[in-house]
Amino acid sequence: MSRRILVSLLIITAVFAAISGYAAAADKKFEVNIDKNRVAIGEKAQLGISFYGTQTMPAPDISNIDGLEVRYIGPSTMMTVLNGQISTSVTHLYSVQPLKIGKFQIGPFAFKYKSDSYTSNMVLLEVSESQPIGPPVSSQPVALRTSEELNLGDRMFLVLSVEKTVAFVNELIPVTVKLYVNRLNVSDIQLPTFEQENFSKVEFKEPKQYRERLNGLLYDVLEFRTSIFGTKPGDYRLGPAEIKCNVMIRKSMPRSASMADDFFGDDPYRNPFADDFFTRFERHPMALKSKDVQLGIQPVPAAGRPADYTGAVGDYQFIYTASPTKLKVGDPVTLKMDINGTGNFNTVLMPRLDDTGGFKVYEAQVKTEENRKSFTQVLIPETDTATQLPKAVFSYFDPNARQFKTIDQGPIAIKVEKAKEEAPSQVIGPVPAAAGPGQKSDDLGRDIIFIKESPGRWRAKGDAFYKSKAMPVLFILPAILLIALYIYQGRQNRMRSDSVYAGRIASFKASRREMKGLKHKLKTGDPKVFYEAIFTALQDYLGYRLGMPSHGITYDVASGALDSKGVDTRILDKVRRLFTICDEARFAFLKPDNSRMRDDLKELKEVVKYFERRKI
Amino acid sequence: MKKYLKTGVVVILFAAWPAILAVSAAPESGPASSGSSGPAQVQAESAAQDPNQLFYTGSHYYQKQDYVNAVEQYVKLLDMGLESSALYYNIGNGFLKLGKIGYAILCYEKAKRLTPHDSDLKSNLAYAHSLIGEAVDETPDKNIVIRMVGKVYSDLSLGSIAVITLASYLILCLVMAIFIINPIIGRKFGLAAVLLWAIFITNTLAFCVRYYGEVLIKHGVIVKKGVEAKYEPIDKSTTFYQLKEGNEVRILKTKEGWRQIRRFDGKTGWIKKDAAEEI
Repeated sequence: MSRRILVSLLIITAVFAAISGYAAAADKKFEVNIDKNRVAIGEKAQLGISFYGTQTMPAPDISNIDGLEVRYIGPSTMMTVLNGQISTSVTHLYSVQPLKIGKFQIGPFAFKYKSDSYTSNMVLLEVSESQPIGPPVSSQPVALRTSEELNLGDRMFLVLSVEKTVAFVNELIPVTVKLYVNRLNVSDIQLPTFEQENFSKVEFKEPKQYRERLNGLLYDVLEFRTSIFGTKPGDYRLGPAEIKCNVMIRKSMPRSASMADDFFGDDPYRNPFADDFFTRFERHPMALKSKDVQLGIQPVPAAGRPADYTGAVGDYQFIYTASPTKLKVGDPVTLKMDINGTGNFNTVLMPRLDDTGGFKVYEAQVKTEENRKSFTQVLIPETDTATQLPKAVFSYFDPNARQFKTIDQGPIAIKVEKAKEEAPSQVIGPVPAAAGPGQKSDDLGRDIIFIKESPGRWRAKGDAFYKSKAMPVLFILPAILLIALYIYQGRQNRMRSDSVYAGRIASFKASRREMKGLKHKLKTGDPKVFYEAIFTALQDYLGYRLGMPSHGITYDVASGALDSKGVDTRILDKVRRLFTICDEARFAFLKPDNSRMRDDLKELKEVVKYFERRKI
Repeated sequence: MKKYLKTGVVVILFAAWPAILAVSAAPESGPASSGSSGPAQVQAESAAQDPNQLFYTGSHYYQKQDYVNAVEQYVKLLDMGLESSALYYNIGNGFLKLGKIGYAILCYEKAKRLTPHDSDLKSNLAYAHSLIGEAVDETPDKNIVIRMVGKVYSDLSLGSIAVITLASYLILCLVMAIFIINPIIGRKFGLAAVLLWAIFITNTLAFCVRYYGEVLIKHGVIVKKGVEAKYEPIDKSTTFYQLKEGNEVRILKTKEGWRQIRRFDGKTGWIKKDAAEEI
C-alpha cells in the first residue's frame, strides 16, 4: 500500500515538474504594433515593440526585413494606472520605410534575453504605388486633449512642487511631480517634462505609488521626484510640468447622455474588466499640465570665498586616505579622496593637493555614486627624501549655514626606502673607496664567487626526466604488475581452499592435455589404443569434475552424480554412448573405422565443452 | 621453498626498477664528468664542436677578464641545445661582471632550478639581488603543509624530486607485492608500509608543488633598466609602477609585443615583451 502511495507521489511530482518546466520554458510575449497598415511607397510608418512589466529590455534587432528599411528611433518608457495598479512598459520605436510595392508581414519576432525566450505577434503592411487606399489618414498627430476638454474635473490632475523657492546657484532643489488619479484607467503615462531653461537637466527616477485622501476623495498617486539646480542667478518660473498619457473612457451608451455619466455612473466600483466584455472603451490621448512655481536663484556670495573654491554647494564630509605608506622610490602610492554628504555632486571637483613636488603625478580617476564622489590619485615618489604626502584641501559653500567651509586633510606620513644606488651596505665584501670611469663592471663583480671550472653533466636544453614518456610508464607498469600479481595470488589461494574450483581448473587442464594426445592417437588408426585413450580422458575429466577417484569412474558411477547436478539428458546419453563404445572397442574387439573414431572424438569435445560452459 | 623462490623473484624484479631508473635518469646535479655521454653528447658532436672545449675556452676568457668573449663562448653552448647548472652559473657571473644584473639574475635562477643546493650559486644570487637593493624574495607560503614540504625539499631540483618520488613508489609497490605473496612476511613490514605510504605522499605533494611553481607558472626577470608597468598594453597608457632591472615577476600573459606581469606584491601591469625574459 505504502509502495503504491510512494509511486503515486513520484508520478505526481514528475508530472508537476514537467508542467512547471513547460510553463517556465514557455515563450514570453511582447507586442508589435504599427501606426498605419497602408502606406504609399516612400512614405514611412512607425513600428512599436512593447514589453510589459519592465523598462530595461534592450531593443531587438529587426533590421533584416526584406523590402523594408527599418531604423531604430529609440525607446519610450511608460506606466499605466489600471484599477489602482501601476504597471510599467517599454516600447522600442522603429521607422519603417518600404522599398517596394506589395504586402509585407512584419513579425512574428522571436529572440532570447537572459535565458528567456520572447515571441511576438505579427502585423501586416500594405504598400501601394500612390496614396494609400481607404480612408485618408491624417498626417497630423492626434491632437492631445486637456483635462478640461475631457471634463475630468478633479478626477485627474497634476501637482508640481519644490522644497524651496529661494536657492543659491548650484544648490540642489528637490522637485516633486504628483499625478493624482481617482477611479480612472490611465495608460501609457510618460515621464513628466517641464521647461528648464537656466536650470540643470531633469532626470526622473522610478515613481513611487501610494494612495492619498484629498478633499474626501481617495486618489491613486504617482510621485515623480528629481532634483535640479539653478545655473544662473535670477527669478524664474519653473513649469508647468506636463505628463502625456491615454485615458480610457467608456464609449457613450444610449442610457448615458454625457461623458460625465460615464465617470459618475450609478456604480462607481464597477469592474472595468467586465466592462471590457459588455461595453467599449475609447482611448483619449491627453496632456495633463500642472501649475508653475516661482523660483529665485541667488548667486553664491563673493565675501569669504576661498581661493580654491570650485563651485561645490552642499553639506559634505571629506575622507583622505593613502596606501601604501611604506614604499620604495619608484613605487606608486594611491591617494583616495572620498566626498560624502548631501548636495550637488555635479559641481564637486577633486580636492586640491597642496604640494606635489618630489612626486610624479598621474591623472586622477573619478567615480560618482549616490551621495558620494571618489577620486583616486596615483603618485610616485621620485626620491627617498619624501616623508609625507601632500595635504588635500576641499572647499564648498554650505547653503544652510550660508557660509563657505574648508576641510583640509593630511599631510599623511610615508616612509620611502632607498633605491639600490643608496644600498651599498648589502653588498658582500669590501667595496673600493673610489671607482674610476669604466670600472663599474669590476666593482660589480668584485665579490662574486669564481666560475665553475667543470661543466658538470650536460643535458639537452629543456630536457628533464619528469617530462619524458618513461615517467608515466614507470608509474603505471608496476601498478599493472601489482594488480596481476594480486589476481594470480588470489587464484592460487582459491585453488588451495576451494576443491570444486580446483577440480574444475584441473579437469580443464587435463582435458586440454589429453585432447592433444587423442588427436595424435587418431592418426595411428589403432581403435584399441584410441578408445583406451578416450576412456582414460573421460575418466580423468569426470573424476576431476565430480571430485571422485578417476580410476573408478564408469557410466553407472558417474550418471547418478551427473544427474544430481542437472546435466542435460542429451549429454548423459553421449557420455553413456562414449563409455559403451570404449568398452566395446577395448574388450569386444570391435573395430570402428576412422570416421567413427573422429565422430567419437568430436562427441567427447562436445561433452567437455558443455561441462566447461555450464561450469558443472 | 617454491614460495620463497617466487617471493625472491618478485623482490628482484621490483628492486631492479630503481636501479634502472637511477641509471637512466641520474640527476643533473651530479659531479662533473669530462667524458659525458648520452643524447646531449650526440647532439654536441653533430655540431662539430666539443662542448667541454667550448666551456673551457669560455672559462679561459673569463680568467683573462674578457667577459664579453667568455659569455659569447658559453652562449654558443646554449645555442647548441645544451645546458648545465655550471654553464648557467658561469654565464651569470659573466653578465654580472658586465653590469647586466637582469641577465645575471636570470641565469642564476635557471641554474638554481638545476642545482638549488649549490652554495656558490646561492651566494652569487643573493649578491646580485643586493645590487638592486632587494633581498631574494622568499615569501613563505601561507599553507603550513606546503611551507614545510617546500623547506624540506628546497635543496632538491624538480628532477631529483621526481626520481625520489618514483623510487619511493617502486619500493612501496615492492612491499605491497611481498604482502600479496606472503601475508605473514608482509605483516612484518606493516609499519614500514605505512611509513612508505607517508613518504610517497609527501614526495608526490612536493613534486606537485614544485611542478606548479616552476613549470605551470611562468616566472621572469626584468632585464632592462627603468621598465614601466602600465595599466594597459598601450604605449600612451598611464604608468602604474616602475620595475628595476633584475626584479623577478610572474608572467601572466604575452600579447602582441607586451607581457602582463604580476609583481611580488600582487600588482599587475603590462610591460614590453623584451623587457623581461622567462626563466
